[in-house]
Amino acid sequence: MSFLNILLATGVSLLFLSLVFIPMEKAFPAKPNQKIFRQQWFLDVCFFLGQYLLWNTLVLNILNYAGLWFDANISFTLRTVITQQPLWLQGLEIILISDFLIYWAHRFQHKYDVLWRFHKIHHSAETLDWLAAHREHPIDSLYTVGIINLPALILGFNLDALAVLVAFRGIWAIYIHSNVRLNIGIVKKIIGSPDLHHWHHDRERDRGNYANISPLMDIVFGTYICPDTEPEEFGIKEKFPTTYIGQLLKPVLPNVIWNQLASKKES
Amino acid sequence: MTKTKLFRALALLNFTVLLSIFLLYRNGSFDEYNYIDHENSLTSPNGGTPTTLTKDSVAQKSTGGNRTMLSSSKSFVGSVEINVLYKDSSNVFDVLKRIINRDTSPGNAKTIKVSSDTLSPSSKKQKKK
Repeated sequence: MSFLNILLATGVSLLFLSLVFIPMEKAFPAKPNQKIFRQQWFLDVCFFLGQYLLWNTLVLNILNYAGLWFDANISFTLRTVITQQPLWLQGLEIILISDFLIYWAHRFQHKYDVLWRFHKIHHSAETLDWLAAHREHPIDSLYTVGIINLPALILGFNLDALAVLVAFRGIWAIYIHSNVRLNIGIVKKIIGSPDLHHWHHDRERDRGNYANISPLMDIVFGTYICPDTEPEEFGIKEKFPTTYIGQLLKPVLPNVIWNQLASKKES
Repeated sequence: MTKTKLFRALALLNFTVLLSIFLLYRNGSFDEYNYIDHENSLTSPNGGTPTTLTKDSVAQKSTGGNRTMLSSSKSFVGSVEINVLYKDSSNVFDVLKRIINRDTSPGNAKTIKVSSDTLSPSSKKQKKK
């Protein structure tokens, strides 16, 4: 596929996601005064384009190589046993194992500075909507997507057969960032909802709700929070660059060099 | 019914319908839209690959290169199949493009065909048969 086709597919994706989420954000706004072209929307468009045009392919290819390594080194018998299970059981297992792993991996991202360094790019968004979901450093993507896929890579779950589940979780992950507040009752304790994830994006670094989609792990490990209101402010407490290149570079450069660059720019 | 309620109902309907279309697409339910022109040997306007490239040959080329991934908690990044770098798009929303382009040029048809082969699980099942 040529780059032009990728560009076209990216455009179609952007259009499709806009059609899915913007009407919902207008009809059921969590923050009614929030505009579509809000502050830093262009930055998030850059992250969206970066992901679709470059980083996705890179991240997924790295994981593919990891997968090939696992293919060669993991017991075929074990994988056969797993893939011969009923599909519903495979689905349940993959959700529970992945959610468990990603819960702790995510909690570590907030706890340890070496991981927070990359993860805070995602949290630097001061306005949350479906587009802000794409603000993510590629190394953070590699970490998260790697962890969440680890059980499938090692144990060989048949994700092709679970395509609908995989797709649903993918699009729901964007939905939970959207500026939507819609009461779905008890269902939100099973599949998560924007109001839960919005609290995760509160300015407090360790506010809670670390689970990927289903809040089950938060409930089990005591980090579930569900106030009736929206957080007053999103983002992080520290000063952070507001350009795409700045956000990509800051985590990978040593603090000394970054501070020198910043002071040069200021002067 | 007030305007607001109507708008809310429409937004919810739009969300449900588009989400369903997307999930059906991912399930391979639109595979019948695949357009294969075995007679045409012209090259794609967007690249040099002959449009006579059949599903089977595409599959052979990408053997070992496709793997469905679960998505990240923060983005849609992983909810796609891996493909060889820039051989195919990581984007999965070409369903609209497919429907729109079903009667268009062979070049576009080729793109659709390749995408569906790598993106649709049901087409893989058919291939096994």
